[in-house]
Amino acid sequence: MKILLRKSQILKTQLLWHDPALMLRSTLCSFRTMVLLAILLTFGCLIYLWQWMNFLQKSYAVQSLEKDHQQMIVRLEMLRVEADYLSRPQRLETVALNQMQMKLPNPAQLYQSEIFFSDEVSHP
Amino acid sequence: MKSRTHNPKFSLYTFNLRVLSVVVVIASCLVVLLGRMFYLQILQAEYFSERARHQQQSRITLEPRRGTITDRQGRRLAVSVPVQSLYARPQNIESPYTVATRIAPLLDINRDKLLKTLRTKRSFVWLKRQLPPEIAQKIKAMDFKGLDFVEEYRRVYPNGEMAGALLGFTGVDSQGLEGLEYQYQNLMAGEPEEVVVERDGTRRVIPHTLPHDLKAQRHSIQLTLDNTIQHYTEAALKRGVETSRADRGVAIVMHSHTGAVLSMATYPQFDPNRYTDFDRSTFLNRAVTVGYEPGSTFKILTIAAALEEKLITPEQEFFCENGTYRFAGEDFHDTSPHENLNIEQIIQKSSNICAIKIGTLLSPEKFYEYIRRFRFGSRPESGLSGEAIGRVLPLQRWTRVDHASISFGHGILVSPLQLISALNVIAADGKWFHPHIVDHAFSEEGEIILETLDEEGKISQKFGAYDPKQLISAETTQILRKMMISVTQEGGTAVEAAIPGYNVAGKTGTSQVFDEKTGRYSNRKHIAFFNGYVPAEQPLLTVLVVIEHPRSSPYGGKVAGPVFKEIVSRTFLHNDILPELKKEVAEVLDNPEQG
Repeated sequence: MKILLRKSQILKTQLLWHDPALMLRSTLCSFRTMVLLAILLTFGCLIYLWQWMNFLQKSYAVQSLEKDHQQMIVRLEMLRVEADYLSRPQRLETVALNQMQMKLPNPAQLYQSEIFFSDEVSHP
Repeated sequence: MKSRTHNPKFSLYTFNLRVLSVVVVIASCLVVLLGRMFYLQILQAEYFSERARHQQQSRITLEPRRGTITDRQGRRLAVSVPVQSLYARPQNIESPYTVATRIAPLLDINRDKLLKTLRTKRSFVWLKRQLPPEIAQKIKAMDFKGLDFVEEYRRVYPNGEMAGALLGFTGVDSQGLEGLEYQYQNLMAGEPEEVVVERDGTRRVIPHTLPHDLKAQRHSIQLTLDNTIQHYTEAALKRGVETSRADRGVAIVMHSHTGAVLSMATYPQFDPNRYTDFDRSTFLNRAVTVGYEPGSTFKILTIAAALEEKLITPEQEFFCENGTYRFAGEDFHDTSPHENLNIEQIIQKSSNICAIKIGTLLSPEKFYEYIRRFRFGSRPESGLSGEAIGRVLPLQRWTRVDHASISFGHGILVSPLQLISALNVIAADGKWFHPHIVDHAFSEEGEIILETLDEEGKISQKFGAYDPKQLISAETTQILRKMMISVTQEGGTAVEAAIPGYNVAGKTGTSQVFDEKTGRYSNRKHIAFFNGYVPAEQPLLTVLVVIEHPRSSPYGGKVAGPVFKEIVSRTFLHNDILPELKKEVAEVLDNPEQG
């Protein structure tokens, strides 16, 4: 069976070589197939490239956002350090004493006593 | 006659020839291409792979960021913040003069000096490191060719001078140079990490090539220090030193039942943010690095040893020789003459002569053993750098005069941390609590570390509280407690340290400074001490105040006592440990009609 098929192909090829018109028609027919295949392949490649480029672009966008995020974190840390600096006890005491005219509490003003904090105190 | 060209056989022949020619040409091209491919892909593969790698890949060094130091409540005492450092590649700079003229004022550098730097033949020069963000932003906006920035980290101490000598500082390369920064360099610094990334044609890092699982190999440390108590201590110490016109001062506040150091202050201070502006002597943490003769504060330990050995009883009286006592060929004096005093009165009046009599009841061997038992002469191992061992004379070298002198706190050198740790034994019912300043270390992931191991697998650093050890009996400390309360009451040497509403147990001390020039103790230079714990019944805080060379008065009670009082009053008020209502006031409030 295989030998028969092979023989028919050889015959067909010989026929094509002896009949250029047939050969041209046959070539055009297979050319269409080739073109179709090439177009499909090209589209496939384009789609693959597009999604790859898209992935890369998105990755760059994510990277950029991550960088912004990092900068925000750095900024936040700087602000925290500034807050720590501004709320340091020495400064708060100076501001309270000099600018707000507050006075340091005298321990003698405060006592712990069961009288003031007894359970009998009623709350409205 | 048919022409040859019109012969169909000939036409087919020429067609085949042309097709064959085309096939041969294409095949030749393919062979050439295949040959070239073989050359490039097989023969030159390594060379081109290397070139591609060189173009696409680059190494990025991720600089380590130093861990933070926090107080016991997590408030930051030292933190690293990212900053920009400016460098130049002089060969790439088009107009050094323009660059120097425009950036010199921003960098606060002389223009001619900068110009000279920019005209050097070196390929890389630092212009200024650790620039403030706004300055870096301005220079970046100028967009000069040949100038670039590197991100580095700068150590910032938000509280300025607070605990400066304790924390220490780091150098420009973030290496610890002093204090805790130096001591825990290995733990906090971390190591730089190098990663390989791929870059695209515009030299941007291709995102998916950057590893996301990078973990910083650094640790932070949390101290037992309390920011607020530290402030109270420093403020009170500063006031005390200035009021007494003294040279320096040290104060330590310790939690009586854990040994945790809540504050450790030295005066004068320095600001680690700009340490180059200060004298090097201020960098020294005198609380742990300097040895002092403890003076009369040591008498407590002499009496504790004698009580523990049952050589004396609380009611026993000693004759104080009316102020002058000759022992082993040397004259010893009291500040005021006394006749017979019992143990409580000896502590209250701080008699040197009676302390000698009690101390010499102990054999030198026993006395030495007690001194060593209270950890004098050995490193406290509190986790601080540069701890002084102090000086305890070897037993073989003890003379009778040494024995007598040590009984009242002379002839022995101890650091303030050693002294407070030993005296805290009285507050803690005879238990020794290891003094410590680092509560724990923690990793970036929050893993708590209580000890570190060396290369051999042995513990190299241990953090937090240790198990206490019983050094003397609780009964002895209870006897001493009652006696120490009398020191701050009427007739005692430290009435100024008394705090209304609390019972304060304490002991004053005044030691003369040994003058190496004259070879004698100076009559003008003194060290004033006050050590106390409060509330005496249930101690929470043990405090030691040392004032060096006070000029208003040499006495510990007068000079260091008020500092103690201020520290404790403010700390208790801040922590809602209110004084107990006085008995008479409570009675009036209970029965207002009688009032």
